[in-house]
Amino acid sequence: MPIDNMEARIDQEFPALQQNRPLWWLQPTDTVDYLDAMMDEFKIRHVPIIEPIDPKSDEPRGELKTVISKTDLVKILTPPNELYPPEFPLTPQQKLQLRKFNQEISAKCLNEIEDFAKLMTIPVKTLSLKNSKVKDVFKDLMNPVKPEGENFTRRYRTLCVYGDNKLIVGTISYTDVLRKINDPTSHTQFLRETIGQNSLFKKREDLTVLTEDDNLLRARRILKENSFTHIPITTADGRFVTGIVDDVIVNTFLHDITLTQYSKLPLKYIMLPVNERNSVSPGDRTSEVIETFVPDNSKDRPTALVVCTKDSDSGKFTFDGIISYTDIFRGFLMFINPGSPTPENPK
Amino acid sequence: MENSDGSIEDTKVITNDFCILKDTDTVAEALALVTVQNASEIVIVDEDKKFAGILTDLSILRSLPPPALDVPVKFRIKTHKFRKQLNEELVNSLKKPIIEVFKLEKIKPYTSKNQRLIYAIDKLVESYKSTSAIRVLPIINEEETVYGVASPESILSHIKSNQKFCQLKAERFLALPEASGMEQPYTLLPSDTLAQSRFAMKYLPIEHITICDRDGNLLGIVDKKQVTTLTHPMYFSLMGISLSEIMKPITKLCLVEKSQTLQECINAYLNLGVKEVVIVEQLLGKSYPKMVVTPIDILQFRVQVYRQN
Repeated sequence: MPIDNMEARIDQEFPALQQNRPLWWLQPTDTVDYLDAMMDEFKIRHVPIIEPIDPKSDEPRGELKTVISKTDLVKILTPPNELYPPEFPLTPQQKLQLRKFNQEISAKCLNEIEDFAKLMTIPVKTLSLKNSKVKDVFKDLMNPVKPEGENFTRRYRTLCVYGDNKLIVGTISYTDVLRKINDPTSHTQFLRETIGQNSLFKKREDLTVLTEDDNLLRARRILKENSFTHIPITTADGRFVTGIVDDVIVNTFLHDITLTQYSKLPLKYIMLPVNERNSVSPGDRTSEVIETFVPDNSKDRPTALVVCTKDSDSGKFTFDGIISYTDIFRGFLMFINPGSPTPENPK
Repeated sequence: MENSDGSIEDTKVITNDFCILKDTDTVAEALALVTVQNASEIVIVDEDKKFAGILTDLSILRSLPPPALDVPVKFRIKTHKFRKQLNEELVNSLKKPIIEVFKLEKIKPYTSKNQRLIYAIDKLVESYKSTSAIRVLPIINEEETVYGVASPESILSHIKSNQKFCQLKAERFLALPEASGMEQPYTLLPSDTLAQSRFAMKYLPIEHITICDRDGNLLGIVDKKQVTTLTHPMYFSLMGISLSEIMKPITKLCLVEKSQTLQECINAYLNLGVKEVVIVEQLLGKSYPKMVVTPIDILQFRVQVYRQN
């Protein structure tokens, strides 16, 4: 069913919510090692933390305390062993600190972790199976929220949906919405046109860009001061785009124990190099770009893609811009309802 | 007599006894080599027989559900629907060509047969420490075909003739500075869980976890292969299993008292086929683990001794 009607109820537009699909969730008293394993094994980036009405029941019925994201998790942990750049070895003292820290934190309950406990005090955006509408889904997935009294914003890429009697019946993520938009039986014009024709991507002149030699601390400062989550990386002369860093990889390396070692780490050591899975070209059709966000044959789920053009002489990529899932949402809303306010820009 | 300055060809550490597959062969064939032949690494070549990379047992095991016999009965999947789903997924995965399932970049290092042995050992150790998986050094011809491999076992077979080195006490390992990167025992309790051991192996450079009682007395070990085998989304409930249920018990371990010589360790690898020995201190009938030593650790130690001399 096409996702054209913004006033439609989500139980009609997302029927899978009523099919008892498995929901991966944890309780506040579950431990950090479980959370880490759940995200890795199910390749998910958000885990709802639910205080169940009946702690012995497997049913996710209760109060949604928060949704912990991969970014939240990497902020409290040290980097995974395989990611340490061999060119920058840790000192023996740091290695001992790592060992002690990891042994202690793995068995800690989620509600014993200060950052997570704080998240659990912030009201969570949720949807209601019977009352929420499609427009609510777009609005909540597009707009970051600034919790009252806090100096940071939270972006929800996955929304939990309440059914009856405090039962969480499932989640809707930006990937579900992208798949709905990419329905070949409807809005074919939008899908067939290129992202250039649809003016979907942000142009390079409007973006913050760093070079391969800029350091990790600089990237973190930029991400902290802005609401975007990705920074394209170029060669030192700025001619070609070579990679991208996001909030997850930047925060992975800046744990207190490794901060001194890695704050000056050049971004070339941690960036995700530009490849066919994280980049598109301005001439790609919108449907192809959506498929790159949610590929059928891979569990990769990028939230932003580099827009670039392959230079036929050098084989390198010239940088055109960046496109995030919110750009697709915004363009789609403009397409189905030209001239109307979008959730990002209410008139 | 050991000749570390000789070439790897002259020292005869190159072996043809290794597993090799084409990148278009199936995952099932790779799995057969891992389970039937106990292969730790499989050399992968492309259609022109050129070296394409190394596939490790851990990569293969990580991509598949655990063998039912490795899963304690109470954790086995009993629901018909899920078993069917698991079977279908398994059959589909096994039919796929290796190149489709695994990212096979041309993994370095590989080397030529003219390389000096000591440099080859150093390269092998560095490679293992950076990948935490690949334990062999492929030897490549000029046309990029695979001539053979140098494995820790083939190198140890050569090194065992070096009496001076082999007579060093095992406790020499314990005196090495932490900076050497050698593995120190990381210990958990038997009541700790698979989730904790998985976490430790993900975030720390460790391949083995010693399982001890609260007094530090050794009860068993778990290794990365066991943890990898049991970690699969269809068996997520296994994350709560206690390590006492999956550990290799002390009765099945090769223990070397710290006052014994490296020769004991090398003999255990070469003659008993074990992949690790636990160096222990024995007091009043109890064994206190000091270090888990693998053939790679012995090679690393060999390089250090060579440099000191």
